[in-house]
Amino acid sequence: MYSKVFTCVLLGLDGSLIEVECDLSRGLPMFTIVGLPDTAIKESKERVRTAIKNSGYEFPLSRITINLAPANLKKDGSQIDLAIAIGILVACGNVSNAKTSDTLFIGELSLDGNVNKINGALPMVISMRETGIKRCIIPSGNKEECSIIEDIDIIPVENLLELTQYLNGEIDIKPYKSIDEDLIDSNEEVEFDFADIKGQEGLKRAMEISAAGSHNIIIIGPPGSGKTMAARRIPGILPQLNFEESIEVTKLYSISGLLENNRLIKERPFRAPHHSSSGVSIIGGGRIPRPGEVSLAHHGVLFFDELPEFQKNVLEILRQPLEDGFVQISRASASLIFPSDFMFVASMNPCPCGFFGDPLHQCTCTQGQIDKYLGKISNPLLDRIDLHIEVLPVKYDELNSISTAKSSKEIKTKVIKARTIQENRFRGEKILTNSQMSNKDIKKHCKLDSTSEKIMKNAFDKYRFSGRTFNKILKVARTIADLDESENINENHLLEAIGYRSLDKKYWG
Amino acid sequence: MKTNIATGKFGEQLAIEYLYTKGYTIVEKNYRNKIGEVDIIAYDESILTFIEVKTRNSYEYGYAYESVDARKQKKIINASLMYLQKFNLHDVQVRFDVIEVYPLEKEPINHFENAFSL
Repeated sequence: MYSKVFTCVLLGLDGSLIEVECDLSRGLPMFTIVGLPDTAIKESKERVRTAIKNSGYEFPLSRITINLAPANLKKDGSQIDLAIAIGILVACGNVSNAKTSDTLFIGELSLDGNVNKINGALPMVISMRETGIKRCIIPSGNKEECSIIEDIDIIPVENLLELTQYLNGEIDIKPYKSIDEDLIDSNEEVEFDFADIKGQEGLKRAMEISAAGSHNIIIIGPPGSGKTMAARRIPGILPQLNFEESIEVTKLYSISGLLENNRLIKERPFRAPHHSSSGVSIIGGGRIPRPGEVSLAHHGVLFFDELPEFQKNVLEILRQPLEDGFVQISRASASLIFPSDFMFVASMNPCPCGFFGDPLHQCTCTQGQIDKYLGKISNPLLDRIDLHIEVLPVKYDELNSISTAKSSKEIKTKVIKARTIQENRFRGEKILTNSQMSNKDIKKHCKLDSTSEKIMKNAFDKYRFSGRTFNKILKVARTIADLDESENINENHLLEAIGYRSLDKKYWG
Repeated sequence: MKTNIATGKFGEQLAIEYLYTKGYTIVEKNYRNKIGEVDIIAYDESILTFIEVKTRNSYEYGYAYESVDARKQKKIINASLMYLQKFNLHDVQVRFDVIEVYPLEKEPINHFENAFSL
């Protein structure tokens, strides 16, 4: 009258194996769940009872005690339903326990016995790889995202009856394997193409560099100069995610419940939160911490349109994730780390009216207004942005010209080439792009010749760079050299890189 | 016209006859202790069953089972716990049933097995 089955709960991105022990004893009919369950699990009593009944089994008339071990870990999530139901059915002898010892059960039950889709199936299954679990029973709604895992059998089930028949050996369910064409570069037409942008060659060049080395970029310019338009086109010139990255991103979307059609995410995410967003929505949080926008933009692009319109505190909390590539969120219930290695893209006007520095329009702001507006962007934040680029309004001739600009496809080819060079350079290390280089890597890979050295020294004296800016310039110069397919950084590369860091002196100097 | 008490007694009589035909072994009728009262205590094979009988002459004032509300259930449960303790029945399977009786209808008995639990 005792049984033990396994399920899983998530703590951030890591799943921990939970033993569901079930004991049936005679006495007054009761159904108790112990082992720090939260509300969703306490409510599972009713779902389990009804689902068992509606699957054609009799709900046992006895004192039922469910223990969730380890008992000191707080458990949440409705995916435990399925394990509890199977535990009860095994304990009362309706289901054989031949297959349950190395099987993970996750799934939410509905009243008619169907197994509903859950959030976070992929991270759960992935973290079971080293626990001795051989097969995972998952809701069939989650089978696409989980099918990429090779060393565990994925058994998708539609309903409880199908599962009991499977466990009793009455029917056989084949482990699900994806028949996807998998991670082959899709050469689909991009929705937004850089060819649509007339003129603005400087902006496009900066975008290209930024995409090639995954550098952060800020675009300053008057309204209507194509800032947002260009930013929206960045996903179109970024290479696809590689397999490992793809899994990381899919895990984050899976626990957030944002996975569309439940497939592996192959495109780099592009997140553009509105400027009214709160700090918690950007960085992540909540009683049980959930990933925020910085983590949803992991390996992709986080775009802040109208940067100074964001709340000051929202901007400042970006400092740590920009630097570290992860966020640590501490709450009473847990302290979790979510990855947040994104490319930061921001756009802004130079003043509240938007026309400061515009040769065609008169700015109507007072100096005080401008200072206040620009003052919202702090120097530490600016320091963390590798490329600063100013755009001016498009001229009539450019707008009307018939000559087509470089398309996203062409730029993408260049970007991919530069990224391959970086990949080869960092082979065996944990990083993939120039922007992730540590001080040691910079010393190793960004050697300057004597002329460049002199230029750098002059620029350093003139602009009074910070140590971080100095490193950022070297990283950008490395990327420009990679785009040039040049082995060493020469003075042209360095001068261009310095050019992208002189703008902050103009506005914030 | 019969009084309500007489109606109730008549209903319990019908219920007991019904339980005999179903093969139940009646242990107690109108068991009473200081906490409350249980109409019928019977064994359905090995399961000790505490049964509350409700009788109505018409549907006009709602269904009979509706009057076995949470307060009444609690009373029955507590009374039966005491019964179990008194006779040291710690290792039996227990069930709570409700039987509705409508003496004037064609099918007067309506039996809810496992109507409520702790």
